[in-house]
Amino acid sequence: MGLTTRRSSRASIMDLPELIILEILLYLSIKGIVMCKCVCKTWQHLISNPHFAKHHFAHSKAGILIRPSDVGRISRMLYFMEPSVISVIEAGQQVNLKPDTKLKTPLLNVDAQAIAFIEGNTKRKRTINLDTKNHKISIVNSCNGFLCLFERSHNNPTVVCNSVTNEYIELPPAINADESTVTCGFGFCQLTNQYKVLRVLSPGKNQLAKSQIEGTTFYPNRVVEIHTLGTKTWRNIGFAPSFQCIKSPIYLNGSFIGSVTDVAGMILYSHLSLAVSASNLFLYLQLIVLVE
Amino acid sequence: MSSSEERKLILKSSDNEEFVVKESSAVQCLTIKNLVEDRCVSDPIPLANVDSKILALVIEFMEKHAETTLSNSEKKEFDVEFVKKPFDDLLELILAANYLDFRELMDVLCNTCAKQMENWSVEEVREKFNIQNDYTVEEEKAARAENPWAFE
Repeated sequence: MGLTTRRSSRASIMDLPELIILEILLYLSIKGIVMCKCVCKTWQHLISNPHFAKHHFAHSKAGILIRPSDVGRISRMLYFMEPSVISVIEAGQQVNLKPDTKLKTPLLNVDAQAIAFIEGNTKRKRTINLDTKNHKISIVNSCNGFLCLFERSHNNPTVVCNSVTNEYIELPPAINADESTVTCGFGFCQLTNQYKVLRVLSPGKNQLAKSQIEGTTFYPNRVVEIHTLGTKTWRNIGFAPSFQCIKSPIYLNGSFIGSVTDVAGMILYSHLSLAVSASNLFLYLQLIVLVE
Repeated sequence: MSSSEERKLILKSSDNEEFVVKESSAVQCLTIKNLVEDRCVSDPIPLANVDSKILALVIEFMEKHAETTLSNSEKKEFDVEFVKKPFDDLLELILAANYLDFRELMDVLCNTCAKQMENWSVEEVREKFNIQNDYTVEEEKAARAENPWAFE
């Protein structure tokens, strides 16, 4: 029935069926949604439902995440530019924008946490433990709104996080301190509905094989490891392409895309797709040569 | 112009008022479209969940958006003016659009509600939408503390 029977008393949005309220919430920006979680418990419940996140993500357009860089300190701040603002900017136009949505990567150095604990504040904020001295965190890439963070002191991907809810998953550490990560990427495999982190490992200096061909260096014994989020280890899946690895791959629709320099110094765009069959992982590296 | 080119339907509101509309406009409402395609059209079509005031507004929107001579920006301008209505009417329109399965109207109304909400504080949302706050003081504080930047 419509609201015709309630003409006398003021109508409430809560009279609408839940599905309709959800539809309205889908149109909100991230800041709007976070604010609505505090309106009432029913809305908090609606918004906290994973289906809502999925629909909102599917419904919204891509925004830009800006991270200020300061050589002297780690920056936890991430400024999110909502899509509605971005569409207004024309090419070449200089604009002053104030990003409304400020997110933070969930990291805090260990000392600060220790102090909070001693002072009797036993409710510790959920943060990643970092060594105070060498804590430079960089972002690997984003996938479906999640960020993969890379900790430079240990030269390893460390954590996958959701900067809006501050939830994170720690990745298993590297077993061998000698090994260092050359390249890594974070993606989603649609076939198995799992998130995966990929890394190309270079063995320690003494074991690293190098060969020179026509002035270009090759590294034939770098290996590729993969980790499925939720499992406990990294899995070795074979040798990496021996030429210079993909720099900063971007995850897009089931594949990593990035550039690679070949023997002749030509830049190729490589396309690495993640496909899973039963318990095996196949890594396809297709090279698309740019025509000059 | 022969009569078959401009087929008309009669829609009857819950308070028994009848409205004549072009079939081509009315089929934007999937509920009506399904009735027409399944040849279940009685004359007039009773719409038990929509009263005459709201039905008149729905028809106004429906006919505007069915006009092929209007550009998209002209339709958008109409939408902007159309949604300047008291909150109670907007809620009733949402319910009607849902019942009639009128996607375009639904999108415009939901988008409007969301846009209004963006500029409001939590208290304003509660007040204007008439929502009961069922948080305790501590609970609300904790909820806000999860994302303090949103409340600055």
